[in-house]
Amino acid sequence: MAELRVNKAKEKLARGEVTVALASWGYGGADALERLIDLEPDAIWLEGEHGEVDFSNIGELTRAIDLIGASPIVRVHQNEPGVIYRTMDLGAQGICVPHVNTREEAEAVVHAGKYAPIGLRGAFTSRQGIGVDNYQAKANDQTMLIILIEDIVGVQNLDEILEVDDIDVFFVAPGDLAQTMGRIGEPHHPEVQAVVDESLRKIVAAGRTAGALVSNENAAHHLEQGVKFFLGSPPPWMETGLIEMNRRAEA
Amino acid sequence: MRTLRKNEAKARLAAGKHVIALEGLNHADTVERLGPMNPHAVWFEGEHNLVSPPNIADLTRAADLAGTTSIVRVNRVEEGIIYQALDLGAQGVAVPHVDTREDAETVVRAAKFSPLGKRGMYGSRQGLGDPEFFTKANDETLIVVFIEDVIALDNLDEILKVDHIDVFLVGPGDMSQSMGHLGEPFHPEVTRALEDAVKQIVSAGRIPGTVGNHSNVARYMELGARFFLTSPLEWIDTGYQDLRARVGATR
Repeated sequence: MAELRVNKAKEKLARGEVTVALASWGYGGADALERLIDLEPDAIWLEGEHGEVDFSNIGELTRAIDLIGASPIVRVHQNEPGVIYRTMDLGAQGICVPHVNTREEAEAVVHAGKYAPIGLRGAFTSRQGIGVDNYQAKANDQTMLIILIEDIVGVQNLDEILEVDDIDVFFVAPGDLAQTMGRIGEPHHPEVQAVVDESLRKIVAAGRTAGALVSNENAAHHLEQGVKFFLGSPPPWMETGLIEMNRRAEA
Repeated sequence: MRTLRKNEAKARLAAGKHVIALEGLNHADTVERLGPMNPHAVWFEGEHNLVSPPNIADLTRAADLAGTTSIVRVNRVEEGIIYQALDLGAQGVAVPHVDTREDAETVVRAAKFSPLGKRGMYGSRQGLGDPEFFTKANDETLIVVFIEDVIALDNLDEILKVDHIDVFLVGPGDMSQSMGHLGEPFHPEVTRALEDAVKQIVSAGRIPGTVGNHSNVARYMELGARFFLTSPLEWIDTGYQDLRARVGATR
């Protein structure tokens, strides 16, 4: 019998270590992701709220990520039980749910993402469970739930949301937050950043794990704030490399 | 009505400038997002990877929209394969293992309409909306041939007599194999053979290329190479490991 695959990102967080996920936007496709093996990434974030990831390709994409030993995390596009557990059944080890604004919405994520007695995830053997003895009894330990705090109403309800157990990461995202604060396109506006900072502080103070999308430049700042789950994306790294390549060619 | 899309990479080479073609991104959504980085060209891998007639149109459309030149490496010296890639929308073709003058002539015959060759008559996707496509196409089609076997070095003088080939790309991987140094593309003997070939190509008044990276681009520019096939994977590695270091993450 096969052992249930360990969720590397979840395990690192459980040990109190920071985790750095790599976003697949700007570097997508199963073949490209499988070539990241030498980077030993903790997790790959597949974009299904805004990107091309959906039921037709989650199997293929998460297989490539399994083979490089990273945790496949899929951001789904709605807080809907069928969407959440079908994504897990196709092979995601982690789910990220956008726009979680109330305690009830956070509870709905757990209800869909965990089997009994914690929740009521639809019973089916996930691709991650193939060959695993008694998969459903073990699955909860290796599935990771991330919720996005990204609306001002979610910030207002944050104390209540933080009371919901079995959520691994509370991820604060400034893009949508700016929009709901009347600052569309200004995620770096001081008013927006003040709300981000305050939300991260609350999450850490509640003893929960905070997450953030970071650049190499602002990552240390978020580390100081207590963020443990970091999401980075390849396009700026590729751009830096290309600029340097051109510079060397023209030197 | 529109006019035939300019081949920016070919224009740069004609102006004596270098071209960096990014490889390993055989995914349309990824390629379209490269636009703001202004890469000279994107390389779609059909000798070794998944690029083939069912996806060449989608991939090259993304390159068109990103404003970058699309080059497809086909699987072998075969006329039908070469012009099918062009008809589906590639602005350039790269052909592996061109070992003889006859091979080089076959490539030109396949990729150029008369009077230069006899590319099969069909309106390429690149020609849509331009009634003069057939008379203009040869000027906007880039041809790269791979010099990557010892026998090709022996025949190089003859190969270099074939007109209408834009780039003679010396390939370290296969060259090392054919020289008895499998898996050692940077073996000194291989490097010497490649550099000698580059010098020979330059003396014949033609344009050499090679597999380029930050470490070797300045050296090959000095020797006269102007076309670089480059993987951004190590740039992503550098960016990701730097981000990890900044937040104190372990592997």
